[in-house]
Amino acid sequence: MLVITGLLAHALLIGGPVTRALAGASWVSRHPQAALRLWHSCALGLLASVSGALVLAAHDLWEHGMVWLFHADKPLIHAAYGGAWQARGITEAALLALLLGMTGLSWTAARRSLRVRRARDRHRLTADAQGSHGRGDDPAVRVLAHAAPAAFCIPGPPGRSRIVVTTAAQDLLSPEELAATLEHERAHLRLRHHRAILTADVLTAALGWMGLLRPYAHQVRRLAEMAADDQAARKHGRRTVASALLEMCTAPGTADPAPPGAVAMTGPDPAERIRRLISAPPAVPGRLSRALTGTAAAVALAVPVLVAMAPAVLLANTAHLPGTG
Amino acid sequence: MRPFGELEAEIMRVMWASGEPLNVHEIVDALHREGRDPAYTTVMTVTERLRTKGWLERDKQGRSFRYSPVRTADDYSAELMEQALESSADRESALLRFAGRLDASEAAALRRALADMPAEPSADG
Repeated sequence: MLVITGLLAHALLIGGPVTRALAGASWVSRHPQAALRLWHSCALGLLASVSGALVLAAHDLWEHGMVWLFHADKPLIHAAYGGAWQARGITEAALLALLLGMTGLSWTAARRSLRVRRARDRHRLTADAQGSHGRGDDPAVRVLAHAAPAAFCIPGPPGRSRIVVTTAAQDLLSPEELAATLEHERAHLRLRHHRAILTADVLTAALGWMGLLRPYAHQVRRLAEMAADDQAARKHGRRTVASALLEMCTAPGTADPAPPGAVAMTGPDPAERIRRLISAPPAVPGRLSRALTGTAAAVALAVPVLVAMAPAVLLANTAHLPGTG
Repeated sequence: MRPFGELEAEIMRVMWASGEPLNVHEIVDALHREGRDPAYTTVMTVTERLRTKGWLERDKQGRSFRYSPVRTADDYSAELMEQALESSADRESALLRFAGRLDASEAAALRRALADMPAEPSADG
């Protein structure tokens, strides 16, 4: 009972206050890629806690496993994990919830990634068939004739990713700005941000209805953009990236203005990115901050495992004690 | 060796450029005129694959199949650019975009801030 409570408390803590604090923290804009990793560990840790709690509620399975794994005494293990609160049917219900949850999660993940992959195949073929190769030496770049300035990447398997710029974007940007823009897109592909976004979308869809992990999907998009900006800035300077972004966001011909309040839903705020590029000091990947976020990520992940294992570890090797068998 | 995807794109280009349905022979000829030299069987395989993907449809005329595009080139690029410019409210976009939108007053303030930005010591410091 204590263990289950601990796991659920961990899940609620991570899903609620911790992620809310992380979404509002100002340091994340200095270390977006580290913050991104922290978000993933929080999500994974939450998932582990929720499924751990369900497994424990269906704990017959767990007790047998622990008895076997640690060679522990069965009644002692049962005393540690079980409790008089166990009513008939809870075990079955928890197991059912776990199975349904797992199935639902896999189903959502499979359906979404299939849909996204189909769309990308279509986009890639369109870009290949209608675009021309870029002036640079990057074979992934395609230039598409279009009156609105745009730059984006179509993620894909190795060698099949594409970076697309429109002719209008090429005309609008200076050569340095264009190079910085392409570098930003290359960074997305290199850092596999499309996978991070897909993972976040799936988990948010799976857990968001409970009110947990609400900001995950939006924050991953926001941090991914910042991380890619930093990579581009490292090569081409923060001013170049900022001015490229500003040109692209204000050029006439870009899509109709968003209805008020829609920006937060559809994508990260470009003004925040530009302000950050202008005012933030060049990010020094500090060893301390990296160690701190690494530790936080490890804690978020390790807590459910430790909480679930602790009683069994304490009872390790009790099975051969005299008088118990 | 060129990747398979290139040939898919080239075949679609040929199909869109041609105003009428083509059989595999005519596709191969058109590719030859563009300086490409793919084997007949390869073109047949890739063309069939484009059909199963839903890009081409075929029609039996005489002894051979004639292929034609299901949708126009503009249909596809319109869909792509719609996502690229975020004019559709699709949250599950398959693309990662560089830019978004700014309102005019915010853009002006940012422009001023950018102009005041001190010169950077070095980009690759």
